[in-house]
Amino acid sequence: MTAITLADQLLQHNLTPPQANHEDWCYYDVSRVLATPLTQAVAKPHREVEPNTLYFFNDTCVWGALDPAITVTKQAAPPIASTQNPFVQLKKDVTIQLECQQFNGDITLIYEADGYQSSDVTLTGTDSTVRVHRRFINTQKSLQNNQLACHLTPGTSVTIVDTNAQNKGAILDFMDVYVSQNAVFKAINTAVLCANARFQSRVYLNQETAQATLHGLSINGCGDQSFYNTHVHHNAPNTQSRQLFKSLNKNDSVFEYNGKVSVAPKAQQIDSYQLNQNIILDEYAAVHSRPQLFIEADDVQCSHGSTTGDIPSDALFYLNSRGLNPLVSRSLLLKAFIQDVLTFAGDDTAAIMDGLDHII
Amino acid sequence: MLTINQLHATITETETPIIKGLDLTLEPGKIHAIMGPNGSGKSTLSKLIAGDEQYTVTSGDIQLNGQSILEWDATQRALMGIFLAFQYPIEIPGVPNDEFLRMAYNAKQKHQGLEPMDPLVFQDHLQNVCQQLSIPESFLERELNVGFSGGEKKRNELLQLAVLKPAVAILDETDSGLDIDALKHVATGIRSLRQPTNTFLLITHYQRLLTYVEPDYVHIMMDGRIVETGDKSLAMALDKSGYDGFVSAR
Repeated sequence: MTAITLADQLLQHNLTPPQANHEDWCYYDVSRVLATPLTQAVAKPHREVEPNTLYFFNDTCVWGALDPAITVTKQAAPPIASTQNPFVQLKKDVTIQLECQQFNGDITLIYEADGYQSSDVTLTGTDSTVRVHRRFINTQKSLQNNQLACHLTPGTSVTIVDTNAQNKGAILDFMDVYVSQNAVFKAINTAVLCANARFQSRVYLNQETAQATLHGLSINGCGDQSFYNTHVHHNAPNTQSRQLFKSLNKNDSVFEYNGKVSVAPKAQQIDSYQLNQNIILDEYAAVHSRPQLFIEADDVQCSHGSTTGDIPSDALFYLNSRGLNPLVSRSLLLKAFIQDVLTFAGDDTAAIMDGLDHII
Repeated sequence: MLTINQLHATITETETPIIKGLDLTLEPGKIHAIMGPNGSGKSTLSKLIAGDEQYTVTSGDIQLNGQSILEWDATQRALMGIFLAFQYPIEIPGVPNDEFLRMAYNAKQKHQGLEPMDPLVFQDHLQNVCQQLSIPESFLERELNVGFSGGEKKRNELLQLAVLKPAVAILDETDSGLDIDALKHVATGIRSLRQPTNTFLLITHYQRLLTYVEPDYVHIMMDGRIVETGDKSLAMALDKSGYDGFVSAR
């Protein structure tokens, strides 16, 4: 095993790291992740992989039996990798092409690392309704650096459900989504008590009636750092986007929501709304909420909202006045706060409830 | 039952005085009404009794059955039998009404050293209370106050009151926002919940509710104090003269 750092990796490929003065990275402690010694772990024997599941461990990938409507191929990586704008995007040995043709069902991507793990997956959905479960597992002093591109052909529906709980390493995740006519993209990301997680989403609504919904829920305790960086591009008329991101924060944690919506001049009559709501449970946590709109069309519905504060004292008093003690009352109110996001998480709520109990 | 002696209180954050030497005794088995102009301190008084920390008692005392409650927090006051029906009940998404009621009921059971009620038995109990108050059973399945109309919220407060059976029930402008039928339902509910062992304090702006409930005592509150106490005829006189007329006549 060789201990390396992300800085070493970047240097090896002649790449520059993200700069702290870049608007998308200004609250992310790049130097911390660059300097962390990473173990270039040897791939361990793979676990038995379930059907319709791709398992990434460190820099390797295997998959289980696939539905006939799913095709997975490995392709050589482009000869030159880059840090675009300036995203960390290391050179990969291979990229994974995941194609779904008339597939209605679930796919699981498991990302696991005890050293350095990277992946580059391109998902193409055609006439499909796909629910992709992404599970992130890592240990201290590890870095996961994943890229997922999703191409939704007309009429396709893709839902991404990310589960990221109690991870001690760092995750830098990049998702680029291209949505065609009548296609629907949904994503729900949960980051629960994770040391360092940055999830970036770029969504391009390129044809009429394309829709995107992005949700995120982050629960941050002692020293945890969690960042959501989204940018939805309305490039065509009559497209729709919704964003709802919530966080609970305590004990020297850092949370950032940097959400942008851009509306191109020709994208008339689009409908977009973004909302970020945060609760700070003590005086030590930091929250940066930055919803941003860039509108170049003149006939659109495009708005945003942001709230950050403590548990509302009037709600707490209401429950106390019914004989419920402060602990039970706070628990009920925090569950109520995340209820709308939880609805989108489906069955994957056990880790969220554990995180909630921990932070209360 | 509940005795308030020379109470002075301020808004905690600004130290603005709101209650300025208030005396009031709520007797068991009686219905008391407090009327008063806007800003006289009626809602503040109700929250003070229930233990809202946004207000601070600077002097005086509030006693429940001879015991000062000032050191008790809102939870303890509720467990000891004080209930406030809110003017603006809070919406709690994700918490079914029946589950919330069972939690509150069992918290009180535990406080009294009693066993929690079995969920199925409790459900039967809830359905009986709904029938008694003419409240649709569909209220029970809904999330706590979420999507309720103003009138439904007030009736849901009454449902909580009926389930928790407090010794002291304070209803803060429960009649506001109610149509005539809903007002009659609420008034009927209050009358049916009246017992020799409990006391009601109705805070209201209007005589209308009092025609259906018929209070034993009507108190006029102005500038943080009770300035007049009488029977239900006082409310009727006030309805005719208004507060300006009342002040001029004094």
